[in-house]
Amino acid sequence: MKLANILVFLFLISCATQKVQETQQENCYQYTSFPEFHRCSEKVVKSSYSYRLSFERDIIDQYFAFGEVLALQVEKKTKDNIEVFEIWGDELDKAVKQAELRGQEAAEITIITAAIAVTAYIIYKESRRIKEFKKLENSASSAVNKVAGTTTSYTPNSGVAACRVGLLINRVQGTRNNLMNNWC
Amino acid sequence: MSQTEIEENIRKELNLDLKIKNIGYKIQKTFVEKCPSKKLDLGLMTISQQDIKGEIGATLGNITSFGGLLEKNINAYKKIVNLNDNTKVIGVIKNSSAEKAGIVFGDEILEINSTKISSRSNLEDIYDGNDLKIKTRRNEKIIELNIKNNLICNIEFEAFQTNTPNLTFFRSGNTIFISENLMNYLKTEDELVMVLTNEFSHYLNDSSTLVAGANRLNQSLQITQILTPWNLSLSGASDFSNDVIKRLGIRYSAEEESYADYMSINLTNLLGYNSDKAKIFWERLVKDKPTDSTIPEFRPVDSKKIRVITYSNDEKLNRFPTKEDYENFMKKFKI
Repeated sequence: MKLANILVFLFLISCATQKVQETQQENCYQYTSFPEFHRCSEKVVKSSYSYRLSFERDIIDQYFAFGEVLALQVEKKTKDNIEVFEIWGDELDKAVKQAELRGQEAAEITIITAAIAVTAYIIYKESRRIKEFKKLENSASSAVNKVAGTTTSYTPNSGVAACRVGLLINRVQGTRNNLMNNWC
Repeated sequence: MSQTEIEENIRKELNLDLKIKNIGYKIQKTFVEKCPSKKLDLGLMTISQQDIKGEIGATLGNITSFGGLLEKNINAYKKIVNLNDNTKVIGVIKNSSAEKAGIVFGDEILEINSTKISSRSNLEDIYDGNDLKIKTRRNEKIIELNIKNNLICNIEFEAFQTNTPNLTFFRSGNTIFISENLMNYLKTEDELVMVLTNEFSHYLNDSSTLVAGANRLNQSLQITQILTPWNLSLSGASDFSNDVIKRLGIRYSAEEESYADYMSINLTNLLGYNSDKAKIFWERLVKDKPTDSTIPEFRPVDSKKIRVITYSNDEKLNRFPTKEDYENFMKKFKI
């Protein structure tokens, strides 16, 4: 029994270490095209120990599957790059609700995905500084509040919002990552 | 539940069964050479009082405790197909040998090769043989037909109802099951064909499957189907429809599912359906995320699936796909 516990502990440590290393190696926020960003964020999430140890992976899998549908549409030029960021953001609510139905553990893993997606939007917006993104900003704000479980109003400052997302990820993963360092 | 409601339910089931068996038969016939096991089949759906007694009586034991369920079912079939003491035709599969011979809904099957037919099992016993002589009665007139039996894949297609909404499809041995809810969720026949060919591909590829007997599984489904309109639960039957499906433990690996996805797109086209329309099913499923879907519990529904479906649809083969085709495809698209 003791041996089994030790093995499980070693496995958890190994996964956690791997997660931190991989997260630090990835810098998804350099991408402004949705397909690149989406695939990068999928890689980051799926290499996290939270994902690997979750029994609710299908929620995240389906979330990224839909992201892939959008990514392919951008590649085939049937949808606009900006448009799909908005659609993908709207999907956050659905994913979170679906996870909530299955309990807190699932909700936490979904936060990682949600947070990354929201951050993607914020960074995308900041890099382009396009005014038309105001609508998306509100949608992102609602998603941030949703995953954070707060009712505070959104501060239209991407740095603050990204920091909040970083803190969320930090809370869920129990680590301090480069995303947070960049924005807080 | 009134007699009329029972009748309506049976009519609905018959339509669903015929729909899935029509497509299933096309699959069975078109790809017969690829199947590891084959069988002779007339393409007939039949019912007799003995069949109903077998389905209800054998499994429920004391039928009177269910308010004359047996009698009501028999009465319903009397209304629907004028059921008497013989075997009646309740469905003729499209392009089957039975249809080509001219058998129609409501025909009474009296004899096949001079053997009296009293039930489905009796009918199946004498299926073996290429040339059959069938004696039927239609509108009090005796008709004798010569039928050449068709060789098809030895696989079954079954639609089933569940007590609670459930979008699912899976396979047990050589029986492919699809829930009525999923059939209603599918928007086109193209989508239905792709779903069925996905599972059929797993069968051809010898993917892992539930080892429990399909007959027992099928029997449980039939009981559930009979009881569903009554809102009755019977341990086993209702458990099956609600929870057991989830606990069957059949889950294809990512690799098995990916190969089946690739094949399903190509088989859909080979069957004369449109994979451009069919592939929308998976896109809609990941977008809608229906809470009553247990599909992801049987197979990975992820971004890899979407890529395989999309790219294989872009590069249609127009011939039966081989493992080598699939491997080259995966290399080409770096999936």
